[in-house]
Amino acid sequence: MKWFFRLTSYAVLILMFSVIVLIILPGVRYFFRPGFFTDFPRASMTEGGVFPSIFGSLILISLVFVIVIPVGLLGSIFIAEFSSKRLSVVLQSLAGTMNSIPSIVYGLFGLSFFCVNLGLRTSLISASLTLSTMAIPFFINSAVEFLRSVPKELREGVIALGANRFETTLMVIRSSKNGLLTTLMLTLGRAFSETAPILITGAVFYATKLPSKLTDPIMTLPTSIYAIIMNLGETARWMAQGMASMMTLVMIVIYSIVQILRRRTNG
Amino acid sequence: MRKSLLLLILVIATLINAETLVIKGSNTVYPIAQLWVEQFQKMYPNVTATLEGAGSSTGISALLNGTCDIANSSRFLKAGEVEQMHKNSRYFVPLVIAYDGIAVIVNPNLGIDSISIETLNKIYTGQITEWSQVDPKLPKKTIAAYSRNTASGTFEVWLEKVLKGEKLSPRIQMLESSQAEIESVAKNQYAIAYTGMGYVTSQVKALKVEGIDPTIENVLSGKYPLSRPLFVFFDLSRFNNMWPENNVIADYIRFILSPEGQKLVEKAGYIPAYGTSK
Repeated sequence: MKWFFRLTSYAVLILMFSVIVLIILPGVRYFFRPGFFTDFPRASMTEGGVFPSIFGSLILISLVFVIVIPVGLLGSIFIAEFSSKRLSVVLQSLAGTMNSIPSIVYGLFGLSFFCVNLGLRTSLISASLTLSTMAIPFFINSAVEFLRSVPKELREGVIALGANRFETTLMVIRSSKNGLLTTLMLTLGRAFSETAPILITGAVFYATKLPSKLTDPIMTLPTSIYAIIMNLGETARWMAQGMASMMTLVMIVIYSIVQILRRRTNG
Repeated sequence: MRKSLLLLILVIATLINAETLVIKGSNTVYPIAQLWVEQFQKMYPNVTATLEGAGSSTGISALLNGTCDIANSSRFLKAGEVEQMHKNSRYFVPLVIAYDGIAVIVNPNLGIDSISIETLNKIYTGQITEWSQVDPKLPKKTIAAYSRNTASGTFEVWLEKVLKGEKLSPRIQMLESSQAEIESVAKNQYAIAYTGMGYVTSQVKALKVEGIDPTIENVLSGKYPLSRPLFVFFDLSRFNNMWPENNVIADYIRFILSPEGQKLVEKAGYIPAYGTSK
């Protein structure tokens, strides 16, 4: 019986490994093309580099972080520490529900609310707000678990030492630091690879310049891959392959960090 | 992360007065617009131009809800859109920027040269499902017919000129872009699809329609039955219904209609609005 389990897990591992290799290998050689990371695409995206997409993705994620860290952290602290039991159940199931809504629905919400109703149009700010709307429940969902897992004895001990409510909360945050960082990294990974919500709220297929203000549209890595595959022929394909392998490598790095942090939490 | 934040603040601080032009719409016009935008950037370094090409309907609805400045379209406004435009007291100026023939494409290995509108109608309404029904010499294989999705302006023109009010068969597979159609036809020997002329490559074969080749001359003279103009729309009500003078939209329009801009239409594989010297 044991060999059967072993065989299945090897098969799954080989499958995952080959998917990763098949995405990374064909694209890696384009990294060495001059200017791949630093140039703008030229000649209908058949020459040049992918710098604006990298830049767009970075800026988008920074903005998402600026929004998610305070809101998500305060929200999860409220649920874990301050709210009554009934309210926290309601809020948590709300966050859980929002977490399982398909991302394209967030995109459509963002399009109608941020782009049209608030008049932010197709822009960096609408995209980051839409992405944050999606990332906050994701963050809260697992952050609450980490805050709750702080042992009760520790809390009581701190209170017994004369700490007030604020100081107790601070201690809880500090002792679940690694868990919160893990959650943040996972949120980063999710926000980095998400395509549908930004595709219709802030991303464009091609921009001649970097975004200069929050109301400018952006190019990002996932949406550029989509745009190239959907619209341009063989001559532009290499760029999409390069970006795909770059994104996969970044995701591997992110998840490795998550694994390291997790090990540290447990040990 | 801190670094990119600093970078963001820096960029916002330094370039805050730059202008941005948001262009959306037709997938057919996309290759032309890409060339235009690249050239336009060289002429007006202060302007940022952004481009998207998901389909004519997406462009026009973006113009209606104010999320773009310029809408590319491979069809004219539909009655419903005109009505909505009037209701919001807006006025979208249509500019003919190029002519195009919808090329009917098949795999080069299929062995067919010409097709009639009637046959196309039968294929896309589902009355004919096998190639041998088109021509007894052709193999007895199921036709894999592809169409653009409903966001496409080419699809609307196809409905009007080929289907003539009849219903599209549910057997037809809807694809998201012209490039996807080209690739599907290149891979499948028994496939058929339709795209703008500019997308046709050597991987696929453009058929004669009613015995007429989709060439520049035949589209210009109107002989090719699936000819159509390509449009660019912009919203005049943003300028109090006066023609814009000193504005990035005005600069862009002046450029795309200039001889230089029209040369790029030809480069993208379409026919300039002024015709050609050839």
